[in-house]
Order: sequence, then C-alpha cells, then structure tokens
Amino acid sequence: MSRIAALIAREWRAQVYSPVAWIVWTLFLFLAGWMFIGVVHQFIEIVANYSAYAQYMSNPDLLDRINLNDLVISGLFGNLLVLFIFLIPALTMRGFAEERRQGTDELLLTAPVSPGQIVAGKFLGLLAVSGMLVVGAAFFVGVLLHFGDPEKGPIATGLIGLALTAAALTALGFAISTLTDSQVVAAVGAFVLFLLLFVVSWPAESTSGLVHDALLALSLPAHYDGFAKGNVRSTDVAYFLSLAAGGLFAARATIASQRWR
Amino acid sequence: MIEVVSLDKRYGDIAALSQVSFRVERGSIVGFLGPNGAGKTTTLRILSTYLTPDAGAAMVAGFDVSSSPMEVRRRLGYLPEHPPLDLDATVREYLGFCASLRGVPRAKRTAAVSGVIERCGLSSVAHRRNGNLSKGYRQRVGLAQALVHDPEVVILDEPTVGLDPQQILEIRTLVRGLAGGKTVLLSSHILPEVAKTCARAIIIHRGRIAADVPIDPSAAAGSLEEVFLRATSGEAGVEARQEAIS
Repeated sequence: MSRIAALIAREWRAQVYSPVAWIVWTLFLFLAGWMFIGVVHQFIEIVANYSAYAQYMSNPDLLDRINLNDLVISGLFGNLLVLFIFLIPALTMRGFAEERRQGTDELLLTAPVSPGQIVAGKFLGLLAVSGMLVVGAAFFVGVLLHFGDPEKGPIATGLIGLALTAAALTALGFAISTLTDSQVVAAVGAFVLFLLLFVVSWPAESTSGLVHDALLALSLPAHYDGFAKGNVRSTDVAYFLSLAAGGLFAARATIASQRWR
Repeated sequence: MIEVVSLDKRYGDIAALSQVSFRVERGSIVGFLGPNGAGKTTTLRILSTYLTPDAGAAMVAGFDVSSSPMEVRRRLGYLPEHPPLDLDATVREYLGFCASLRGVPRAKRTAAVSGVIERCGLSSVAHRRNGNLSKGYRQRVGLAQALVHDPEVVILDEPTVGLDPQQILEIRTLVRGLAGGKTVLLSSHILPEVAKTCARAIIIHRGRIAADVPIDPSAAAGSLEEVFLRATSGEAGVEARQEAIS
C-alpha cells in the first residue's frame, strides 16, 4: 500500500513539476469560462425575449417554461465533455511513454512492485490531476448557485457524470501511453480514441436494430447526457466504469508483457 | 549468490545469449566484460528480472528470476545501462521515492536516503533536480538508487561509462567499498576498470562465455587485456576459459 502511495505521489509531482498540467488546467478554466459566459448570455437573451412575449400575450406562465437547468447547466456540461476529449490526452500522454523514454520503466519493473500496483499508482496520480478539471467545473456551477436558483440534483449528477468521464478517459489515455515511448503518439492516439467514442453514434439515426443499439451503446455522449439532466441510469454508470476498468486492465497487460519480449 | 545456468535469449532471429553459465560467490565483486553487443546488458537485464530468458535458469540471492521475481527484486540493487532518473525530481525526492518503492520502512527512510547521499558524495547536489546534474552526478545518483535499500546483491551495468578519470576513480572506490558485505556484478568494456575493481572477470563474447578468470591484483592490467583479446578474437575463446592471469 505504501508503494502505491509512493507511486501516486511521484506521478502527481511529475505532473505538477511539468508545465503541461498547468497549461491544461489554465486552458480548461479559460475555455470553460468562455463557454459559461456564452450560455449565460444566451440565457439572459432568452429570458428577455420570453418576458417581452409573455407581456404581449398577457400570459406570465410562459416564463415558467424556461429554467437555468435546461438552458445553462445542461449546455455547460455538454461543452465540458468536448473540452475533456481535447485536454485529457495532454494529461495522460506522459503516462508510461515518458517512463520508457527516460528509462525509468527499468526502475519500476525491477522494483518489488507488481504491474497492477504500478498501474494503480500511476492511474490514481493521473486521476488527481484530471480530477482538478472537475473541481474547476464545480466552480462555474457554484457561480450559478450563488446568483441563481437552479435545481441542485441535476448539478450533483452532472458533476458525478463528469467525474466518471474523467476516470474513464484517464484510464484509456493511460492505456494508450503504455503502447509507445512517444508522448506525441500517446496524445494523438488517445485523442483519436476519445473522438471516436464521441462520434460513433452519429450514423445511428440512419440504422436500425442491432447496429443502431450497438452504436448507441458505445457512444460517450449517449451515456453522458443523462447525468446533466439528473437522470442517472445504472447502464450509464456501468459504461464509464467498464471503460475505466478496460483501460486499466489493458495497461496492466502491456506493462506485464514487457518482461516477455 | 548469483548462479546462471545455460541461459538462452533470442531477439527475433538474433541469438543474444546462448548457453551462458557462471556463478558469483557471496561477498565477491565480479566484472562482466565483453565488447559492445556481446550480451552483457541482456544478461544483466535477465538477472534484474527486467527480461525473462527463453531457456535456462538464473538464481539471484537464492531465488529463481523467472518463478519468484518479487523475491529477487526485494534483495537486488540494480543500476541499468542508462541511470533511470526522474529528471524533474530533486536528488533527495527521487531517492526517497526509490526507498519507498523498494520497501524501506517509513521510519528508516530519511536515514537511508541521507546515508546513501553521503556515501555517494551527493551532499552538495541533494536539493538539485536530477535533470540539471552533470553526467557524473547522474551516474552517482543512479548508483545511490541501487544502494538506498541496502540490498544483498548489486548489479551495475557499465557504472563508469562516459565519466572522466576523476569520476571513474570515485565510483571505483565506492564500488570497492561494497566488497565483503555485498555481492556485486558489474559490467564494463573498459579493461583496467575491471582489473582494478574486481576479484574475477567473466568475459562474454557473441552471447557466449569466452573466459572466466581470477584477477591477480599484483598483475598489471595488460595481462587481462591479453586474455580479453584472445577470448574475443575468433575460436580461441573457449580455450581461454579458466586460464588464470599470472
């Protein structure tokens, strides 16, 4: 256990000593802030239009049809998913690729730690770094809570969905970084995989039956969107946990196979 | 302490090692000599459990590297060909990590790290980042990493490569200081290096053991050179086996 703790601390240190984590965090806050301002402005405009319309129709009930949750929070969480797809590969690209390039894989693989412990330590260290993005997202939601009165349930589930996504993408990105000794290859590979999970369901509308179901079952947004609406389904949770477990299992297998080349 | 029996290792079509066998007794310092590409690193990587052999067996500290790698790793200090340093960590941080990775109990960790920093002459750079160190210091940090957990067996892959004469002398003194307490196997292609540090030299050539000779400390390094050249030039290799330097 103390060995895993040592690996977690080392991974965290390696990430925050390198500029990459800071660049990613900063970019995330900037871009998420930009998107946040966008959706809030859109909301203000819609409210203004609706109040004018309600006045004209003398029907104040019309204003009840719009709310913060549907227009701002749901939209914001949808945008954050896209940011994750772009930014998490930059956090996971060091992963194991840099160990190989630096030769430190030889240190890890000749120390009394199992491949499973190496994967656990490095993954949890990376998750702490990508988890900071979820903390950043919580900040913007906090602004809404301070100035508005949104429903709190969907906010909580939205953040859970975001955290599950961070875990799944971090595990997959790390798995890709175990396959190469180049950080660039690891980043591009992870980005392509994430993008594929994002777009895989696009042809689903024109298909039917098993193909349709399979495409939707693989789709990242299809499993993610419910969370921001407060709609948590066990299949969605299982989807993200399976992606994370699959990534970690694959990473463990590649690291363990290193000895047998 | 180290026992290697009929080790074979192939990389695709190339036989890196064939029928490599040797022993290293407890408490002795043995040099592993050979031209570049002879199979030194491959052998040491197998002993360190980084690679597995295709055939044959290797025992380190009484445990088989294939069937109980964890037991071997607990007892082993290993300096790979390239010192495996975390370039962004400071020397002290890095050695602290290595100590906990190797299972040094928390209570003893600070003392172990400070001790090894002292022994390896790293006190003046302990707070600096590995990445900002000169090659000589990096090599010493690599050596410190292999010693921080006080292992029974120490395997060093070319510990003095690329160092200046002064640094070579320092490393040599350090390694010689390990004699008696620890079993040391160090590889090199620099003959005087082995002649001055080790009690015995095992010469490997094209993946085979070409000679296994005790080194007479009173003899000049030239005689080891003779054995080395004979062992690594063509067929004479096998005959040179067991031939003592006089």
